[in-house]
Amino acid sequence: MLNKSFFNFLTLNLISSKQKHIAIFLLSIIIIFILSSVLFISKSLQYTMMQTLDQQADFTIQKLRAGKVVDTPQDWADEFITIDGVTASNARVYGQYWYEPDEKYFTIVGIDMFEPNIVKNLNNLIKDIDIKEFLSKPYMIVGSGVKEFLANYHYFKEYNFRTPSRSIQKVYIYDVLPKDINIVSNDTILMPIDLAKKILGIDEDKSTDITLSVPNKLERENIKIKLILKHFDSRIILKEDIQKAYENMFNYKGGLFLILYIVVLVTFILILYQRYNTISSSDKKHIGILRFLGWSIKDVLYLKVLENLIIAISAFVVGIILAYIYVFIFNAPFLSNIFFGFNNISNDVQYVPYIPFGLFFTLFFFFVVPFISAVLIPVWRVAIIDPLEAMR
Amino acid sequence: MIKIQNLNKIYNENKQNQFHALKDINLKVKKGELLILKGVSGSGKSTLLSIIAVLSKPTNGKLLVNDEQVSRLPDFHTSLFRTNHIGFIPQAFNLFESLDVQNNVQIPLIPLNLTQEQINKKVNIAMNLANIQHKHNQTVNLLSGGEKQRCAIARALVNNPELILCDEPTANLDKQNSVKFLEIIKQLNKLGKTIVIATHDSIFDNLDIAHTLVHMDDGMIIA
Repeated sequence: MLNKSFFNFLTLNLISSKQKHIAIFLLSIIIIFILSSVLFISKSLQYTMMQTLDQQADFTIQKLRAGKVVDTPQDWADEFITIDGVTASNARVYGQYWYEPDEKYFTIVGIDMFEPNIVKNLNNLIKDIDIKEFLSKPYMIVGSGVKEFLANYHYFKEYNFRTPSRSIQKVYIYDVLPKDINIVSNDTILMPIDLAKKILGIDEDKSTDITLSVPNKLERENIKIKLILKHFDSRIILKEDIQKAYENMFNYKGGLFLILYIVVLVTFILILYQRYNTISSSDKKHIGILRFLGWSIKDVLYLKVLENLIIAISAFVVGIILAYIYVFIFNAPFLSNIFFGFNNISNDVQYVPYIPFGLFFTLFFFFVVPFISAVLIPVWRVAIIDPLEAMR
Repeated sequence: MIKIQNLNKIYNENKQNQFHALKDINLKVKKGELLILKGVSGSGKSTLLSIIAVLSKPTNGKLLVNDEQVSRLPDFHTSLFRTNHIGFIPQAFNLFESLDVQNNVQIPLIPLNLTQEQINKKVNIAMNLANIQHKHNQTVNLLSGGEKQRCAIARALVNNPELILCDEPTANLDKQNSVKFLEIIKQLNKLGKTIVIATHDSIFDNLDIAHTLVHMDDGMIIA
């Protein structure tokens, strides 16, 4: 059955009835395009986030007072490094600086230029800096979102921070962080640790939190207990907890889109089913003629399934290609706002192409299978009736 | 070749709109015979033809073709039987209007898993027999009524069937084309084909070749 003449007939049939199929084809492309774009964005963000989180410290410890997080004594870092299994300990300084006129905030991160940081990507960002020059004046390195934001207010080279003691601290822009890490660094400002403390109002002997490196995963639970025994008034956050929190956030957003997609898909399948159910008289006649000429029900179903499989697969491929171009080449204008619309500072993200194979399979399965089923049942119902009746 | 015994066809059986289309039909058609089924519209000719073509099943009775009971075969076998043994020329031609003659003629051969070479050979023979070879590339919707019928004839002949069934073959043709059709039928009959024609056209009354005339009325054979 699946010979050259069959495929020739199939092609001719498709060409001659192209007007009938065009609406379904275009609708399918739109559905696949929107769904794949959302999934591409979501997976790319998730991938970048997880890559970044993977470079974070294994432990983050914050001091609590009456259940509230307060600044952590810096000497805790020296204390924790003595625990067996802890290979590095850093006192971290970071915080949010509120820009009142526009109700936005920047994330200030203080960096110790003389000590290797546990957060590996932070080391990468500052490795090419000329330390002598960077420390010669109050300098900062800003995320590209911050750079653009400040430029809108005509702060092109420096910005005057207001400290909690009401003094003004002028800080000069030394460099801009690369755009490809915008997802995590868009609103970030890196500056020397002492300068950061001054602007955020943190005492000299305090820090925001303490980070630890514990390479042996099996040791982590023991170390957690030791930390609690040393300082019961502390909050201990594991890297895995942060990863889980992010995963939950993405699953939540992804889940919302999945529900929306299912609603759209069900509507589409109903349209498709309805369309074939109220099969046109010419379609009915064609099936009748084929049956009349000796085609079995199976042969007719083969033809119709393949006919619609070609439409579904073509629409699927075109939709995927368009989504890829839209997300990874044009950086998903409009749709990005769904993910970053409520962001602090507008984020000009560059998506990293990351598409797991399973994603294609899921998309294909949830689109093509319902598509073919919706067509198959009405066609079968016509194919089993008396050919003479179908031809009338 | 064809043996019909006590055959009945009842539409909508046991319903208010029940209709007895064929009543106790008994008929024999010998191999190579030309049989003309005559009768007015609604006399049951087309229903009988569709049962012979195993397009519909009788309510009861037997249909034997070459001593094989074909009226109760399952779908796959009836389809295969139709492709291999029967060529049907319907009144409305029932062609794929957007395809050309050649592609229309080859449709019955597609499910048979033949090579393209075999298909082309059979299609060419059929088109020559039906005298439509010169229009092989012409789209059907651009053909005249007579040409469409010759295309339908070629399609019916493409698998070299033993039995050819024609339902009101001249109903949509002018006199000139009707005469041409008769010429083709005579030629096919000479080739040994068994032919059954259901018609009410008087052109078939005085054929100059041997034939059997059967009259039908109200679902019964009356002569």
